[in-house]
Amino acid sequence: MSSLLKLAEQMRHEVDRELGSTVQLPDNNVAGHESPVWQSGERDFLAVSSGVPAGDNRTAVEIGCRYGRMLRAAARRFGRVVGVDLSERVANRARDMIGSDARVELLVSGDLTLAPISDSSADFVWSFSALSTMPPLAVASLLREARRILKPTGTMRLRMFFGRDIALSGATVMFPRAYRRESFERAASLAGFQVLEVSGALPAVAGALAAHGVEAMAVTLHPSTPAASVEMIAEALMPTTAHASAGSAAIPDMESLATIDFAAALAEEGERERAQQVLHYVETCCRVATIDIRDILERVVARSAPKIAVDARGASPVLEANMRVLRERFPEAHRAVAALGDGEHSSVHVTDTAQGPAVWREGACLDHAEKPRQAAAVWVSRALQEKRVGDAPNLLVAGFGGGYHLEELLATPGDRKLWCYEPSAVALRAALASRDLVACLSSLAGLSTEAPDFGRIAGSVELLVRPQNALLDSGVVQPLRAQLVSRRGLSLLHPRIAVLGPLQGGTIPTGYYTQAALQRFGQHSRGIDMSGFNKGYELLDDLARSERGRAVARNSYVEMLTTTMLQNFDEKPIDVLICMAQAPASAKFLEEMRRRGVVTVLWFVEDYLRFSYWRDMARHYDFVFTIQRDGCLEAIKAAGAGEVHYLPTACDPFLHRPLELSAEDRALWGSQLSFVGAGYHNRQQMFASLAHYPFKIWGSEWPTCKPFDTLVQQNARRISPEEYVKIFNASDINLNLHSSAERDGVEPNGDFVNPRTFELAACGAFQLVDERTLLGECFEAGKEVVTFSSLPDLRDKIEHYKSRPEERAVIAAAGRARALRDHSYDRRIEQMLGVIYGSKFQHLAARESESPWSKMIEHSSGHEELRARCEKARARGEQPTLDALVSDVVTGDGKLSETEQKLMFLFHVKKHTLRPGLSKKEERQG
Amino acid sequence: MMKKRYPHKKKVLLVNITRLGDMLQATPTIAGLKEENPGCHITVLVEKQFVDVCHVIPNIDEVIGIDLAFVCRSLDREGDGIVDAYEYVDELVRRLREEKFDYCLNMSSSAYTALLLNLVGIERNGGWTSDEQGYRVIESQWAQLFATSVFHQNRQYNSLNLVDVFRCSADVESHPRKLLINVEPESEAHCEALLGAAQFTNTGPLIAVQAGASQAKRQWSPARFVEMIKILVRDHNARVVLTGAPKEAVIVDPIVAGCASPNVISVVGRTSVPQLAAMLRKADILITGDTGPMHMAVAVGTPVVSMFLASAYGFETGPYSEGNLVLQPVIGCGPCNPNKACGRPDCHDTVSPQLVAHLVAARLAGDVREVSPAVADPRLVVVYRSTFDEHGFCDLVPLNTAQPDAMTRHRRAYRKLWLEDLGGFSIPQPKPAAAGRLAVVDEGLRGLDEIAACAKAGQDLIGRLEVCIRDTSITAAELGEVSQRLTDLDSKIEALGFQYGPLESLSRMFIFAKENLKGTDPLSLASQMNRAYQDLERRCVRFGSYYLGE
Repeated sequence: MSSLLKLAEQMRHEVDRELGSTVQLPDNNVAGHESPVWQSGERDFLAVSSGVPAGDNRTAVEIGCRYGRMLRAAARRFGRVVGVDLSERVANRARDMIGSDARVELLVSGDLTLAPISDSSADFVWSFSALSTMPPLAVASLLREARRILKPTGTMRLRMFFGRDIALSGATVMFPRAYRRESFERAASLAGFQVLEVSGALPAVAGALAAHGVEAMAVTLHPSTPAASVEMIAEALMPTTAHASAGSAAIPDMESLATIDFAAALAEEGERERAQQVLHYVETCCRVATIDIRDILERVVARSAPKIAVDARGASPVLEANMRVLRERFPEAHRAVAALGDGEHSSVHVTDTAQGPAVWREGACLDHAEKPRQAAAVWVSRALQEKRVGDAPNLLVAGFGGGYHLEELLATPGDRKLWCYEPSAVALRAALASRDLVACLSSLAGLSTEAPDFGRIAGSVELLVRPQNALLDSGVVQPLRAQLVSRRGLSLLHPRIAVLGPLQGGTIPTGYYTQAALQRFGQHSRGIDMSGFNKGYELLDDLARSERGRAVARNSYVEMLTTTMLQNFDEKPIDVLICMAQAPASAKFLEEMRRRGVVTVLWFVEDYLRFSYWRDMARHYDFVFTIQRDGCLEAIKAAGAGEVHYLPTACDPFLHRPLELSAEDRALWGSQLSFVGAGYHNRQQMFASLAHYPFKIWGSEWPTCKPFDTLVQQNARRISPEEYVKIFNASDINLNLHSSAERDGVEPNGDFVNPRTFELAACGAFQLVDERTLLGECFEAGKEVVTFSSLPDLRDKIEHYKSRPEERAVIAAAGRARALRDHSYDRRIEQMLGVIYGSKFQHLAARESESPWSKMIEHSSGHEELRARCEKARARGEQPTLDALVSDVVTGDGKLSETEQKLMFLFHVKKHTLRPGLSKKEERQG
Repeated sequence: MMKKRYPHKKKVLLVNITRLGDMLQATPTIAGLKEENPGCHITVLVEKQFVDVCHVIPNIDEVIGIDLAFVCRSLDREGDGIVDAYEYVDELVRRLREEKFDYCLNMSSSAYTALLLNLVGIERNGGWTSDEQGYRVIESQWAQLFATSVFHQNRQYNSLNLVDVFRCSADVESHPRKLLINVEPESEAHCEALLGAAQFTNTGPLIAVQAGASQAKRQWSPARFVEMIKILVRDHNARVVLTGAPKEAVIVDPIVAGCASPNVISVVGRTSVPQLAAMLRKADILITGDTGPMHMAVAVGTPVVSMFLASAYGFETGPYSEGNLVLQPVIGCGPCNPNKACGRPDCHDTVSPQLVAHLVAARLAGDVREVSPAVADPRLVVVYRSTFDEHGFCDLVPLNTAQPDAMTRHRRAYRKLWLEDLGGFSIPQPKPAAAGRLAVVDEGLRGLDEIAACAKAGQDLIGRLEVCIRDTSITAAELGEVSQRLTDLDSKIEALGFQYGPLESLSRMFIFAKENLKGTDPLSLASQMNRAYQDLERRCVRFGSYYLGE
């Protein structure tokens, strides 16, 4: 099968699957109006065909007509309208929806051509949503076909997304893609078109794409030259930076967005009711519940006049009964509701409907404004259709509303536990005041008005967010979702992670600590220690004399290392690559990793103002973690990094800990004042004036002149991490002065906190550290660490603390407690993975489901023990090989299970056949 | 009558996975099983590619193919391929269990067939299997002898053909004294057509030549074949047909070209296995190395002249029928280790084209009972004639020498020992005077007294061990000490075997016996161990006396 046919097959599969899961197709009429589908179709067709001559003798063709949203509108203007789509099933649905219309033809084209349509027969070809969601190869094929069927005088109009290249990876083939405008124009011209116009005249889509730096443009094309090959056209469309990052979950299906857009437009025009209807349609008919329709709703809601039916503040017998149960079962929630003051109720009201009261908050109805019970039942049945939700032992529902959906969920068979989080105590009180919820409250497993801690819920949890709450409470719901995803990530995802260390420098240990923490989290990680290659890197300097020669040699050396690493990753693939600062990862290498779908991460534990290589490298990383905030985050983001987050360094409690030292060790390593670190300018300048103290300086790059000749220990050799833990432990006062190459003394606006701060604290060592703007959020100055702002200040504090060992001990102990609690590498890695898994969950889960282990596990479902063995071997981080499966089968050490014997059988067959050509006797003797 | 472990068998599984030669060598056993166990059903498990071939093997009721190629392909795919392979095994085990075999005989010593048989769970067996801990189990003493005899350092002291050892491990006494294969009329017609198309000008004997061998070092050079064939064609009016598998064309084509005679043709790659059998039957004689076609010729009753070069050893796998000729080079390094390549196969020089041509001509003229040392120098090569002894065991009788070589006495002594000790056959005892010479140090028996003494000491220690087991007041330390001394003793026996090479078969049999103790009851284990020491002591004495009696 050609690659095009294969692709078409895959696309059709996805379209069909979507058809299966898009639960409701719109009724043709909603509340007396033509369905929003046709309304938005009419609007969009007018936009997409503007300026194109219509007429009864003209033919219009839509590429990717799906359910025919725009075909009716087209048929009102063109004599013959042809809708082409991939799937017979979809075409059938479109036929059902459109009904009989002599002008409309529906064609199924399963091979990404427009084969049934003859050459030069169409006056107008358009595509509104389809082409922009197809892979480049498909777009290329269809562009070429469009060129073929268009009359020489014809016009093609496409809605495409332009901005930076966004080619989202993931399990699906069909998802929105954005192209660089010049790429697309080049492709169009290769396909034989002249690009007449690219305009922003088409409606923008609900802001969702704008957030990704992408805009929808109408492209007008006329046939001009003969078309090039499909491959050439596709090549032009290929993203220059593969897998540019964007959260795939963030962009829902285009049809929904278009409809939401339509609602927004209606709201703008003051058609509030119709806008409401359209939005309800989106809510109930769209599978994706995370659509950001906040803006539109706000605009719509701002114009709606609330009808107050029940006073949400009033006391009632219903409220009393509900509150009794609430106090008994959920005392925290009860306290929150009971503590509400009078003024806090204004944002909430309740309206009456035929099916019971509906609660409104901040102008939005938390239930269906007319049919709360019925809508809740629809919402619940749809939510439970999704297997992961239906099967979850715990469901956490964000949003209490009027409680209808909770009652519905409780009434649905199953042993799931139901937890509810209602961020607004006021809204909860309104519900409690208006309905008898005693039974509901008695059956819930939990109800809180504070963000719930998933840790308290045993077993896996699924989060269900009411659409209204997703809008109103996005500030709390989003972190909750992220928390759940990252928690699930830590327990459900097993991506293969590699931590790539630098050739040299202070970041090497940070790489080790990172790797150790990943392992403690049970992640499948391996550290790639490059420090051994440093010697060779340095030797190049001896061989290559000229600066240019050295640069070439160094580049070749790094290239050699990365080529070798790529080979290593061929053999032992990874999913996530965490590069420590200064790791030898070239742009080419990182792009190759990304091409393979590997998530690239940089932990940039350096001062971004001092080291600027991020300017060139940031765009090759999906995530950059920094030790600085504000300007740093913005600058690195602007340099093209996918996501940038603040993540300071930390301590490794397994290494950085209090030690019982012998008197000998104390004498060797200890002093009244100690400092460990390189001899940067400001340190030299400041410490020279402390020479009258018993003061030991450890580390390299110090001058040999006075007074350092006596202060600096052991010929200024490099000190290992184990050694400096001894120094920290053995010294009364440890100085910690952040380095500056330019300034004297304490850097006035120094921001980031160095690793030594955390390490000293974790050792239970007393430190005097210079003031840093980011230190305050890590340690409380004066209680957990003592800071100084200048040389005189430092002198005063040394004088104060040198003779007060008890005070020092109290502060050091508090510092240690804080470091252990908040600043361990475990904590940091948890945060790092939380971010990565939260945003790449789908991608990583898809990779995992495609991984050989997953296939094996799935495939071995009929063989419990085999399956368990696969899972165990995967958890050990092994490759999906037979050797991995039998590596813990030890013959002669207890009885072998049947499964083990069968695996050993295979193992021996394999071993046996590796020695072909041996005779009978040879085998016997082997 | 031969000693038998399981006299009655109803449903037998014969595992013979990989080789055609092995399958042919099993035919006397299969025939014997049928004869001695009337109504017995015999299933063979072979690699899938041999399933068809098995249909020309008589007495087989059912053939089950195991698709090792599929298993390997699946395993090579890794990932879910492993699960496919696993499911294949799972299904195979299920299928074999359903058959409810009451006896199995595993000819191959591979670990995987041993595991497979343990999985199938057939209680009675005569060959390799494994226990539930994955350890190799060889219960039958004949099979243990099989394993002992093929240990490289023991091979040259063995004179029992493996066909017989295997047969005895299946308790088979009566057998057809030849290998068996059915020749189908269609195959014969095919061969007639092949021969009919040839432009032979000679009218003499049809001589088949199998030039290819399984290993380069066992491959007599094409130049020698050419020279030998030329003699036969020129001097004996012979028509020569070269046989072989398609991949052997690279060896055979140059020979045919070198002979440049209408009387020399190649049918390489033009015969299936049954057709090759038919072709060999048509031939008057086969000239070959130790190959599958050699066994096939034996099975169709065509005499063979076979060269046992390099690692090949005539006593072990020689032609299993009466009256074949076997050439075994006399060279310090032969038979060599099959797992080592050889860069300078000097053993080939011991066999000249003239000698082979001479022997072929002699064998064509009739049974050969004598070869003149002038023709075949016994210092270079021994020419044997295959025959059967009075107990029906295949043997080789030297034709060109009256002097036994250095190994002969050991071979003869071992032969008698095992036939008597394992088979229960009555063996003429050496004269008492000879037996009394055991005390005299004979170079060939050095170390025997030491091994016998160890065997005796072992029995004493077992006596103490049994006391310790029965007496609950004995401390663990004492028990441990006895056990430690037994372990040390066993190590010593093994070491003595290595030190005194000719005696290694004795110690190896002892080690196999100890490896295959059954059960977990201490007293039963002690009693089995005692028997192993008794066996060893007795065998030492008997071996010494047979050796001296030679």
